Amino acid sequence: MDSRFSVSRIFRIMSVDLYKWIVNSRMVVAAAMIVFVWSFAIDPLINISKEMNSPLNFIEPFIAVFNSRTLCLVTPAVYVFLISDYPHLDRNSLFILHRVHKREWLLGQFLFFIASSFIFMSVIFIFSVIPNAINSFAANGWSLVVTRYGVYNPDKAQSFAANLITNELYNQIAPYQAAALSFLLNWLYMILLSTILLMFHVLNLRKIGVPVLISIIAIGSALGVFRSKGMWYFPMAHTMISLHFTQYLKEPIMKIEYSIMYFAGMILLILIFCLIMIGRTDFLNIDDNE
Amino acid sequence: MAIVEIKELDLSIKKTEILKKVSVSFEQGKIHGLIGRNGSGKTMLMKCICGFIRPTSGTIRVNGREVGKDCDFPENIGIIIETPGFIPYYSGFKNLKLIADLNKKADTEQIKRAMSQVGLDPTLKRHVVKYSLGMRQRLGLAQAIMENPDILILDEPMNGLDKEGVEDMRKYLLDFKTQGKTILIASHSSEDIEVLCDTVHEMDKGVMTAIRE
Repeated sequence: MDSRFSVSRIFRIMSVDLYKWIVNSRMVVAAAMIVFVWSFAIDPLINISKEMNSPLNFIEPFIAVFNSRTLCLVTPAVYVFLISDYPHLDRNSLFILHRVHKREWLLGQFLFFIASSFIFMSVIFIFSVIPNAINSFAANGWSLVVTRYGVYNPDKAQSFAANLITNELYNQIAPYQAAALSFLLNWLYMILLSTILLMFHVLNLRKIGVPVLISIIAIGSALGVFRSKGMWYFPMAHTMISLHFTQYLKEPIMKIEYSIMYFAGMILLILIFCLIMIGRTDFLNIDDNE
Repeated sequence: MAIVEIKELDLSIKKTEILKKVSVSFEQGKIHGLIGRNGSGKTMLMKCICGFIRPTSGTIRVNGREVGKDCDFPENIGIIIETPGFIPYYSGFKNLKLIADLNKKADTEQIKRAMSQVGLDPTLKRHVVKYSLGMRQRLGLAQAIMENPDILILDEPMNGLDKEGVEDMRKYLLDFKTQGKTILIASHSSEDIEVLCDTVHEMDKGVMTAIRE
């Protein structure tokens, strides 16, 4: 092991883990999630677009995926499933571990989580936007399908498809901004979840990491659905743009900047804690992953 | 001169005592054997020396530096702990290159030389997933020696090797010793221990019970 701290080693650790993650057979679950999201969020939007004979904005299906109160549970849960055995420790990891510093390894894992969550978000973006792109328009404005479907069809105003993008969203923010913020906040959410998982590994409490994450997702989603004030203590509410606003008032309930600060602060705090505690970490459970 | 010094080493995991007051020194330039039944603590002792597990109490010094205090993992060691694992859809050479690129201590030539020394063809494009157990074991040894380490820590290195492979491995380890290097080897085979080792350390239920020259 070279005694100097090396950034290139951190990137190499990340790239090895990223490769192992991408070729992992459990990636089939990500494909299943795409089909699920397609049938529950994208397909209903396309159907009402056809019904109204009016095009969607190409970005609206993506916004619908991350602002639907039904689907808010699915995407983070699938991501947690995909990273549930990370930091991955197999017998190949031994050869890497003893050639690096523990802190380099830790930062390599953190970088892996940043990269894997970005890939995960990008895949959802691509699969929600591309398939309907040719029948959509690209201006930075909401479609009539989103804003007027309930008005033209009062009997269907409460249907699932009509409420995928609510007026708290389209009355308050333009679609491009909504999409960019949805991507950013959900990406930060997944980085936060994975950093919590990393923390439990560092504390040698690996087995309780995933149950804690599932609890955070479930409680956060439940509080978000009921719009309880306690939802802001959990990361879920901070990812949904629609929860930040009321239907008509200009002043937001929670500023988007605060949500970004919430994620950045939490991630940074946990990462610093991990960097302090990594010296005490055992790499005992290597065989558990074989 | 002792290159590895272990003093009063205790290791408990989930209230089970794995290692009890282990004190032992391993001298430089010799092959040291570790024998004992399954569960006697050989692998755990090796993992402690490598810095993968923090002992409950006691100290381990490798090359004069305390593991876990002066360094996270000991420097200049090569390891095989149980069956070596590699990325299955890379060739043997690509696997070693990936590992060697971490600290740039071994260049392409050194990797190829290490592979040839253990009887593997560095130009072989076959993926590791299609390697036999013996080939993987040889690749594990190539990984351990490619950076010319001072100490080799080998846990059951003969696993999966055929008779010819065992002979090659023994020859290589004896040659490595003549270069002034130190080898710590755990094996179930009494023949390997007899042929190779200068000192033999016996473990039972986490205790170092006997040391013989």
